[in-house]
Amino acid sequence: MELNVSSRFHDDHTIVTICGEIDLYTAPRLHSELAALLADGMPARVVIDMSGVDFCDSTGMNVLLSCLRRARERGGELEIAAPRPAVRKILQVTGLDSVFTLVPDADAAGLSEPKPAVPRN
Amino acid sequence: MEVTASSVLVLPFTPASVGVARRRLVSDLIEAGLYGSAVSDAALVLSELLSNALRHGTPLPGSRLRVAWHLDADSVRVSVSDGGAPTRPELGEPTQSTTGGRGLRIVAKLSRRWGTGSDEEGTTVWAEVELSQLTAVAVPAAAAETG
Repeated sequence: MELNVSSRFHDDHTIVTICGEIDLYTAPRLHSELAALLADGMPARVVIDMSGVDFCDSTGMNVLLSCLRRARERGGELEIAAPRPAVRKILQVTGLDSVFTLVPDADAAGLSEPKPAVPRN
Repeated sequence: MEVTASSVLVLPFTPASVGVARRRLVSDLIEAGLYGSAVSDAALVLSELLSNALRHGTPLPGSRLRVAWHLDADSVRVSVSDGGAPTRPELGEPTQSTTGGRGLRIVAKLSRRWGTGSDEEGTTVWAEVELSQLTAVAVPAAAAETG
């Protein structure tokens, strides 16, 4: 499996589930899928469920970052849910863990109450 | 104990080669007894070096690039060779929210040293990822405790 992307639409947010690996080869497809979700008329709040992503490099981070910028331009947010250790590592190493909103799981995101950035388990 | 693993791959100069090389590296390192962050750090470093070569470099003859890795007792050295580029690889200085310029900074952070070389064939960029005691081949017992 290289990359699967699927979406669930709620009234005020969209949950995008990504499975597989995000790199130079798969990033363009992820970018076009996310760009479509952030088009006008769609909820600007997007929760990316990354629990199924076992690899992501800086190319993938750049895709997420440009979509974060797009979401915020529209008054929304792009949240990263349930990153695995390898994805948490690149978020830390790049300092992007302080740029993205991280949530413990996709169902905890999109709620009105803010959630702690780090799961306590 | 057998801790040496070396591979050289010559792959097409296309983005699909990033994953092909990375999966081969991961499977080699796991087969050699490594696990955890040693494997994932080496995979990330290789992915960044390959992405840089494909984005900024030119192919070796035959529209190829060459990937190599070597595992010894305390490090994994990965290297990527392409046909060279008009500019030398440089560390980007991205602000936190700009895209781009992060690849070699990640390599620099995750490796104990890295460097570049060039000859008549082209450019090679290499990096050495240090194996910590926890992830080294010699102490596999730690795996059970962290699960």
